Amino acid sequence: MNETNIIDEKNTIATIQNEIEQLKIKILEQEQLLDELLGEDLEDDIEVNEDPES
Amino acid sequence: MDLHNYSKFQGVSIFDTGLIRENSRTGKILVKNGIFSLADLFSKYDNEEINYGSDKYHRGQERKAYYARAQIRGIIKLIRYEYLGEKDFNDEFFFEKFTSSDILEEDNNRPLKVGNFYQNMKKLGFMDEEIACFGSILGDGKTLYDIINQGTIGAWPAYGREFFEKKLGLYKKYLNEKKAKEEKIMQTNELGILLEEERELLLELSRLHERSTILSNQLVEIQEQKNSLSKKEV
Repeated sequence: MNETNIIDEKNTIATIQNEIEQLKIKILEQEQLLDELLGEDLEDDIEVNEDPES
Repeated sequence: MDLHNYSKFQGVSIFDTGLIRENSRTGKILVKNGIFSLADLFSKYDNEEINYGSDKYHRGQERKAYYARAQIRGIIKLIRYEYLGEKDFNDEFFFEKFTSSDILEEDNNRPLKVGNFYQNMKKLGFMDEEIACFGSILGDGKTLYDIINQGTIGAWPAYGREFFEKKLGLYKKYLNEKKAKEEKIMQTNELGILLEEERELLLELSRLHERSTILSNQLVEIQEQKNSLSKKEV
């Protein structure tokens, strides 16, 4: 019984570790996207600031 | 003072156990102590009223006295294991004498051939405590070694064979139970460690979900701001 529980538990842990890896990739992508969007904003700000007409 | 009620063993003769021969030294010593039934045996053992007769039966030879006492106590422990379910096979008295270095370094002229037996059993991977129990209960280390190492009980006399086999069978049963219990504990510990690992991983997963949600909200917010600015520009 214990042996079965140990195998089940190892499978559960492997599933969670897999979920964690997937989530880390997702977060990395989200952070990159956020950087890009914020970068665009920054560029916009710079363009606005550099506009002599403003 | 009797701590236990052994009345149900009053009608069971010590010779019905298949572990003691009537003509053996152990049998004679127990009868000299007025022990006929298991109730007598358990009660007197509890109260430490058994005279192992070392002086009388072995003329005060110290080693033989240890040997007789340890062997009788070993048989009593086997009987208690079978009839009372007790699993206390440690005999500190014998263990101390059996494993002490002065005995191991002495000559080989001793009842148990302790040195050889001890070294041989060590080679087979037994722990000190187990070796002491073997010697104590079975009384004949060389024969036991033959059984374990060669699968034979060699020249063990026919008249004592079935008694010896019963002793060995009981002790093997005890060792198997002990091993199974230890494995269960190890598995329980391993399961405990895995459950703890799972708990920590779930915490990490939860933190990552939280982080992802925050990022996701920020992204939505920025997108909305951008959309709003675009509309204004149009």
